[in-house]
Amino acid sequence: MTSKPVRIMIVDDDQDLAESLADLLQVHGYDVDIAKDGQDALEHARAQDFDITLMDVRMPVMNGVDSFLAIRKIKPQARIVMMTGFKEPILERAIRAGAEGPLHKPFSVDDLLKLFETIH
Amino acid sequence: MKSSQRNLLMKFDNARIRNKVLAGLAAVVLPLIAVGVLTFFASGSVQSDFDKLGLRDLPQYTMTDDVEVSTLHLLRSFSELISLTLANRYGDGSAAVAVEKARDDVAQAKANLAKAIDSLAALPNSSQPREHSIIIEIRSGALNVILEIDSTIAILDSGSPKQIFSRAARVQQKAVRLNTWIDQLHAISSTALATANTTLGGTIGTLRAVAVGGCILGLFIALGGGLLTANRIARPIQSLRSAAERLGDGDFAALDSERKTTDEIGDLIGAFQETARKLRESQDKVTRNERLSALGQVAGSVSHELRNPLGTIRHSMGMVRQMTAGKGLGVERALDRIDRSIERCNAIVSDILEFSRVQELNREATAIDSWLDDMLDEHEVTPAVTVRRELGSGAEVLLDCTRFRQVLVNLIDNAAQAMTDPEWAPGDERQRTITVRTVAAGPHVRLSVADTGPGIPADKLGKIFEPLFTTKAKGVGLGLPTVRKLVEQHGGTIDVESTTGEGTTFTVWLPRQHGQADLQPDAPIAATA
Repeated sequence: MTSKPVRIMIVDDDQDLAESLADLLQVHGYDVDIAKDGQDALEHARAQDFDITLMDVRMPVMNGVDSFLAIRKIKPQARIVMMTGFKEPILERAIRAGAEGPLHKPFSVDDLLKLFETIH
Repeated sequence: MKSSQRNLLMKFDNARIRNKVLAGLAAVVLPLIAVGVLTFFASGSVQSDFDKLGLRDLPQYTMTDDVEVSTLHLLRSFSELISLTLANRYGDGSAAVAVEKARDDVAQAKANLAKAIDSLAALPNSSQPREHSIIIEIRSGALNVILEIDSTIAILDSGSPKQIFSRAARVQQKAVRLNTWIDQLHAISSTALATANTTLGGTIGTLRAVAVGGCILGLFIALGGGLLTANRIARPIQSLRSAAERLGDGDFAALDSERKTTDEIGDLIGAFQETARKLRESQDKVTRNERLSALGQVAGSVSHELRNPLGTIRHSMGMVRQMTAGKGLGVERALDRIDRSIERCNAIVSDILEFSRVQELNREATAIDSWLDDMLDEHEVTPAVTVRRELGSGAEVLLDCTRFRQVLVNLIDNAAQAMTDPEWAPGDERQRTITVRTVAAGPHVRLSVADTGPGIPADKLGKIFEPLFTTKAKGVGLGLPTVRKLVEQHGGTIDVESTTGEGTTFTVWLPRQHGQADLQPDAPIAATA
């Protein structure tokens, strides 16, 4: 296994959640970056490439769906997994446009790794 | 201050009802009193008219008087004729002219008496038999007098003075006898008149007493009866009014104690009680909806806010588990407990979200029996419990199958949990059984889920559909409220029956899909629990 570690961006305004998820994924050998909202995620996406993005839906400044659509415009190949704690009606738009998931919080690490296997 | 105003208002109302009732009675009683007063005065005038009536006003009196006078006149002219005839016979014969005149006088007097007798004969028959027979005697007596006079006149020229005086004495006898009859008649008439006067006086007295007494009694009865009636009408209305005011202040039981009579007031009380019942139901529904709405608004943000920290705990725990794996630190069981608790927290959040979710149903016509069959095949129940199926409705209903599945899952899982509660064991060897049954019931399908568990105590049975009420050690109390919400969204109702120690039956009534052929007329409609 000489290939580079998989690069993951976690987008969530809940800092504790983002950091705990980042820690967990790093323990499992992933290279993880954190964005604090949809706008921040878009800027990260402009600056570098990520193999997988884990995107929350409800966030300040720019919500996850708008951020997803914006990233898709500049990086059509980006794989973005939506995360939510609630059945948000707007999520449908993202799923129809090709978003992965959604993962329902609080998801287990097994659910997450299984999903990674299918999309990567 | 407010209360005294209320009392004044009630008195005012009572006075108005009283006045109306009294006015109605007065309209009847016053004409009757007027009739009484008229009777009183009219009877007085009858009495005074009768008082003026004397014996001489009676026709039999005046006519017999005529007979008497004519008889006297006849006797006088007759004795004149006798004395003139004898004087002429034994004198110088110069009185012949006077004798002729005396004969004419007698003839005239006889004619007058005969006329008086005819008048007497024309009198209507008296109602008193005694009076009638006396009148007959008077008539025959007067005729006898005339006959005796005629027979005396027949021997006047040829008879001796002795013969003539003897005949004249017989005339006198007949006349005296006639006079006696006339006197008797007068006596009888006088007594009859006096008796009639007394009787009339008594009758008129009674009539006047009745008229006066009737008027006074009528007045008292009208006044007393009017007040009594007004009071009887006004009292239940006042009571109803104060009960209605209490109802307005939110006391829904205010009307329950009102006595229901069989009259219109009773109907009114019944209508008010029905209104109060509907008001209470709608108030309950509003209260419930307000609670739901408040809960719904909170639930969305709470669940979001809770699921993030739950996620954080789970991720952190996952990392700890990963780092401690295989190091023999003995933390695995603790980590498992944390994991289960996260699941429980998540289930509660899911319950709240499900209950508060406002979502249109996606209903389609479904054959409920086969759908239930499939659903029960898929749904796992603990092996300690037997699930029996009696699916015989043969009906179609409009179902949102995904949402309605929750109704069945909830009812079946509740029943299974109740029967596998470690603190309860069946009293006998009864099996722990859940029976799912469908029956067609007119325009409805009756779907029941019956268990043989411990039952629900009566004091809790009325509350089980209220949000946040639970009998379980674990649970937030939204399962049955969600069931009821879903059933009502399907246009149905749900009720529950339970006997402690025997089990609980939940019955769901769902409207059948239109166009079903075998509608039965005896459709019981379930009351909402």
